[in-house]
Amino acid sequence: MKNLGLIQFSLIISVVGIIILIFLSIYSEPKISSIEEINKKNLENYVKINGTIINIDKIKSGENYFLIIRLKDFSDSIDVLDYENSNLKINQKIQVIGKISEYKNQLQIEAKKIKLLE
Amino acid sequence: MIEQIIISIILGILAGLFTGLIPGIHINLVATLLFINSSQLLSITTPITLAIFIISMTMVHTFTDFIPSIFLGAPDDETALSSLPGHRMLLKGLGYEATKLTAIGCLIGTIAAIILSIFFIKTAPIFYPFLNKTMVFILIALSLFLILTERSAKNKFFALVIFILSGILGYFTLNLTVIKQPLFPLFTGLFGSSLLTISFLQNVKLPEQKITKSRIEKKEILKALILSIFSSSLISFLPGVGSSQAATIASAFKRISEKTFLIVLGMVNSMTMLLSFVALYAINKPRSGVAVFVGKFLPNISLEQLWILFIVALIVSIIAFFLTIILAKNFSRFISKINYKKLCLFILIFLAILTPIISGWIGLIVLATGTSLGIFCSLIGTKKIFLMGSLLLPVILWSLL
Repeated sequence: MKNLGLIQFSLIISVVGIIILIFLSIYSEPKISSIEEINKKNLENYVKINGTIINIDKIKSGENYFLIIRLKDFSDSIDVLDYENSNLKINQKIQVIGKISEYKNQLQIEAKKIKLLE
Repeated sequence: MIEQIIISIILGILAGLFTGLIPGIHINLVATLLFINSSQLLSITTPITLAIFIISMTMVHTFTDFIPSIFLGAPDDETALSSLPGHRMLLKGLGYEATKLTAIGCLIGTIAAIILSIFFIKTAPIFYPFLNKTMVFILIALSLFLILTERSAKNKFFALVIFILSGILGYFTLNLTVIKQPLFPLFTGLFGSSLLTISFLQNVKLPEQKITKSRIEKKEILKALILSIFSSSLISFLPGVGSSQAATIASAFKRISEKTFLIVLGMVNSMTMLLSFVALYAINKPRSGVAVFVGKFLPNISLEQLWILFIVALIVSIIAFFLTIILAKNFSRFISKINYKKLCLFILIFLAILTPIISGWIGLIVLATGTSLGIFCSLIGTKKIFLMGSLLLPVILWSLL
């Protein structure tokens, strides 16, 4: 096979690249933003925000439930969608990493990770 | 209102030419930019006008996208057998004919999709709940079907390896929280820059391209149409499956010639795109990136609005057909006169500069990994469609986990 060297090289780079991306996906996180910094330009991107829960609504969607958490920080407030139904309470301080999306002209965050801060 | 519609059709056609002819630039990117600036745009125009812009761009992109994918990234003779039918025809000097066949397919596909939509608007709400429940099993069955219909045991093995490796790459890339537009470097690497790198590394010399008239029997077109209707109907309501898989499913059921395959490819490309708008209307599930944005502009899309979009799609498709033929003729004259190696290098540099701008620096790692995997896939002689594991495997895993 004429291209044997190139085949081996491309396979090695692919595997090394995949391993790096696995590490990055596990260990890398976006920088902390304030809620007022979130705008339409960040749509579909991930953000990390810290805030206090000021309201929780449990919503039924088909046979499943999800939570809409109203999160407030020093600058503004935003809805966070939690499909994992975490056991959270009002006034708890949490850190959320999630994707910015839009529903009925309002920006919201679809949570990927929620961490209790205290 | 009429002036606004005409302007948005013209701008959509221009945007579709831009995204279609420049490798790596996708319509979703333009649709995203449109959406980000929609507040300002909606102060001077209406949501339906923006949706008309999107559908015009989409249709032109669907046609012209075949020009760079046929004329660029061709391999040398040694790997030509495992390459795409369009590239094989290009290496025989038939790049123009290959593009024309896909354009014929796209045009017939557009008409067929509009007729089919009457049926799907009525039936989709009935069959979708069943499809939704069994979706993950259908996707697994589909993936297995594509792998198991490979000819030899060696081909089946490598198809599985490529499917799994690209699936892992796709899963972790889409899980990254520090990347913007992850699909851009992922698909550019797997399907674009990998082929361009191979062309650059190998000494590809393109023969003089001939402007030939394609003679296709009506029977072949009918065969292509039946296969396309079957496969497009199946995949248009499933996530993670693209037109290449639909064309492969079609060809797996009935042995078809290289030329018929190209017609099928064109047909399923326009049919799946238009049926994704039917899915948006009938089951409120947009099945393509651009349908997602149309859904954002027209959240409660009415039947009247859907038909306006389809009439625009039909008119733009006719224009796009002639534009594709003219462009393919010019590409054929120009491609054998220029330094193919330098052209590939130029586009590779362009994509490498564009990636950090669109996706950030991590995008370059995804681009390099995708490019290497795409090169590996081409050189071991495995079909590129198995690289779609990058989308199929994550969808399967998210549904199961």
